Amino acid sequence: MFAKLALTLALSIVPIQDRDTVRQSEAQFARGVEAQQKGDLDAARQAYEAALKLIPQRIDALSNLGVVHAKLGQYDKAAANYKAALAVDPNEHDIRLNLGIAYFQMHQAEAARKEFAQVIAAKPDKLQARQLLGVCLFQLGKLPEAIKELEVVYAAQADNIGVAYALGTAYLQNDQIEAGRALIDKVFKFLPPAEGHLILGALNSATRKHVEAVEELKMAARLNPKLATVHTQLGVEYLITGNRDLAIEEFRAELKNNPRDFMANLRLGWLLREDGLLDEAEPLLKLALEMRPDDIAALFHSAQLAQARGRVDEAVKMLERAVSIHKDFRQAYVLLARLYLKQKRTADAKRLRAIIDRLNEEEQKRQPTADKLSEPPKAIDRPIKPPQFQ
Amino acid sequence: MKRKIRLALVLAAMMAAAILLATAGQGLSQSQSPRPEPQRYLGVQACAACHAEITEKQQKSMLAKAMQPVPDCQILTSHKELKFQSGKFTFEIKRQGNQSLYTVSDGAAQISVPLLYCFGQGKSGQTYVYEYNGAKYESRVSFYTAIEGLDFTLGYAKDIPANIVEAAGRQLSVDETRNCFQCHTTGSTANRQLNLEKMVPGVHCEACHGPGEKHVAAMKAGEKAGAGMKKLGELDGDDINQKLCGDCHRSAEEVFELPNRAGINSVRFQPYRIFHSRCYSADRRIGCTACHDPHGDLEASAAFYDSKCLACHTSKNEKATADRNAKACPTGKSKCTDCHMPKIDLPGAHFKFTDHRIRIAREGAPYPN
Repeated sequence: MFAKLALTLALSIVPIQDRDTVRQSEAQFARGVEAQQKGDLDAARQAYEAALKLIPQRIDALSNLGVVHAKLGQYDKAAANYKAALAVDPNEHDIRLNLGIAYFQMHQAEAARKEFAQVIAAKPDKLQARQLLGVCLFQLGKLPEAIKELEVVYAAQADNIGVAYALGTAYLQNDQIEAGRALIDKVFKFLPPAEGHLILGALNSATRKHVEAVEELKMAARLNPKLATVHTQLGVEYLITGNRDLAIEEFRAELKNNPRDFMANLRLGWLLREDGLLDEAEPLLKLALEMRPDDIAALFHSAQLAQARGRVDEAVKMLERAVSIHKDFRQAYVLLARLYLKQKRTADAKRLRAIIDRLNEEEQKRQPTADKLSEPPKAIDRPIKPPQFQ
Repeated sequence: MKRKIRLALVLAAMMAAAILLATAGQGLSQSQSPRPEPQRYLGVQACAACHAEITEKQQKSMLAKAMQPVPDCQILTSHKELKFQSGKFTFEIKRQGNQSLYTVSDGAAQISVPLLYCFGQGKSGQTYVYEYNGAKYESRVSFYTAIEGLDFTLGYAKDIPANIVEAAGRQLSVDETRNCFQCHTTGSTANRQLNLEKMVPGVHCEACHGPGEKHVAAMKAGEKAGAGMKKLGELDGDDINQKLCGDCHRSAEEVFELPNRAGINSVRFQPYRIFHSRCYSADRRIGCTACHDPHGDLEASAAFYDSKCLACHTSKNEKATADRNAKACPTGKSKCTDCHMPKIDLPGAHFKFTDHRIRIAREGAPYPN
C-alpha cells in the first residue's frame, strides 16, 4: 500500500521536474550557442556542459560541445562528445563526419577512415567525407583506393584545386606519372610557393630525378619549414642520393613539426636501429607500426629491432605477420628462416627456404640473366654498398 | 528540441586537406639519445704487443690488403703504365714516383687526376678512387689480374658517358664513400662518421674484433682475458655468416635490396649464396670461419676443404654419429667443392667466383638465383 502510494507520488512529481530541467537545460544551451557565435569558446563550453549536466543525452549539446573542443584543439575530448552523441543517434552523419575529422586531427587515420567510410555508405554524395576518406587512405599507404575516392570527388569538382593537388600527389606516388603531371600542371599556378616547390620535388622524385628533387624540396623547406611532409620527402631523397646523415636530420625536423608522420617515424627508427641507437629507435618504430599495422617495412624493421633487443619470439611473430600479409616479401622470409634456425625450428626454416627458392625462381623467369648483367648502377630508395673485389 | 549543430570543418579550406596529406602535429619534441663516445682504434701494434704471432700472420693476409694507398700499391708499382681504349675514350694510369696519374681523354677534352686509393688486393682485380672538384669518384676502369690490364669496372660496360667527367668515373655519394672505407679499411668510421685521418688501410684485427681501447685498458688493469672485446666466439654460424662477414660481403637480406643481383651477379655475395644451401643452419660448422681463416690467406686447393665438409658429412660406408650424420656423397671421395661449389665466370669480372650455394650442380642446369 505504501509502495503504491510512493510510486504514484513519484510519477506525479517527475514530469514537473522534467519540464523544469528541460527549461533550464534549454537556457544553458542557448547561452552556449550565443557564446559560441561570439567566439567565446570557454563560456560556450561551460554552458553546454551545464546543459548536459541537466540532460546528459542532449545530442545537440553533445555535438556542439564536441565542436567547441575541436576548435580549442582538444580533439580527444571532441571525439568523446561526438561518440556520446552518436550513441544516442548513430544516424547523425554530420556528427560522424566530425568524429572522423577529430580522429584525422589526432593522426588516427585508420579510425578516421572507418568513420568517413560509414558516412559515405549512408550518404554517397557527401563529397567532403569522400575527399577526407581519400586523404586517409593516402596516409594509410593505400594508394589505389585513395585514388579511386579522390577521382570521384575530382570528377564532381574539377575546379577543386585541393582535390586536384591531392589526386596529383597520389598519382605520382602510385607511379602514374603522366596523370600526376597533368594535374600538377593544372594546379601549380594556384599554389603558394612552398607548396609549389614541394610538388615539383615530388614530381622529380617520381621521375627519378633525385638531385633535382632535393633542390626543389630544399627550397620548399626554406620557404616554409613547417610545411607538412617537406622534411620527410627531403629525407627520403637524401637517402636515395646517398646521404643518410642529412636524411636523419630531415626526419628529425619533420617529427618536431609533425610527431605522427608515418614515414619520418619509420625511416628515422630504421636508421637509428641500424646505428645501434635502439632506445631512440624503438618508440619511433612502435608508433609507425601502430599507425600502419600491416605496413611491410614497419613490420620488418620492428622485427629487426626486436631481434637486436634479443626478443626473438616477438620478432618471429612480427615476421610471421609480415609474410602472411605480403606473401612475396623475401627479406622477411630470410630473416624469419634465420630466426627459426636460432629457435631450432629446422623444419620451419626449411619450409621458408623452399618458399624463397620458389620466389627466386619466379623472379629468374621474369628477369633473364643475360639482360641483367653489367647494367650501370641504378638509384634505389636505400643506400647501397658498392661491390667489393676479392 | 531545436538542434543547433555546428560542424567542425577544420579542413574546409581549399588546400588544406590536399596539401596536409600528413597534417602538422602539436610540436611535440622527440627525445634524442646522445651517441656514446666511440672507442678508439689503437692499431695493429697495440694488438701485436700481446698477440704477436697471429697479428703477424694476419698482416700478410688478403684482408689486410683490402685497400692500399697509391704509394704502397703493389699493382700500380709493378704496372707503371696501363692503357685501355673504348670508342673515342682513352684511359691511362701512369706511375710518377710514388703517385699514379689517371688520365681520360676523348680526343678533344681530357681529365687528369692523381689516384688516391686502391680498393681490392688484386686476387681478381682492383678499382681506384680519386678526387675531383672536392668529391670522391670511383674509376670507370679497373685493373684485372687475369688480363694484367685495365677493363671497365663491373657495372659500367653498357653505360655511355655523357662527358669526360662521367667517362672518368662515377661520383660516390657520402654513404657509398663511407661504406667503401668502412669495409676496406680499419678505424675509418666511428658512429658512422668517416674520418680518413684515423684510417688504417686494409682489414685488421680491430675491424672484426672491435676497437681495442677498452680491452687494452682492461688488460693493463689486470682484468680477465678477453675483457672489453666483442665475444666472437659466442656467435653461431648464422651470425658469423650474415652479420660478422655479411656486413661487408652482403647478408642474405641485403642482397634482395640490390638493383643488379639477378642471375649470376649474386655469385659475389657469399653470405647470400650460402644461406640458400640446403645444409645451411646456425651450426658453426657452416659458418664462414669454419672454412676460411680470416687471419690467413685463402686456401685455393679444393682438397683443403674436404675436411670441412666431412665435419658434418660422413664418408661412404662410414657410420653416422649423433654429431656427424649428414649424407655421404655417393660418387666422390675428395675435392667436394669441385662439384658442389662450382666456379662461376662472371662476365666482365675476368674472374671465376666460387659459388657458395652448396648444391648438386648438374651439367647444363640453370644457375639458381
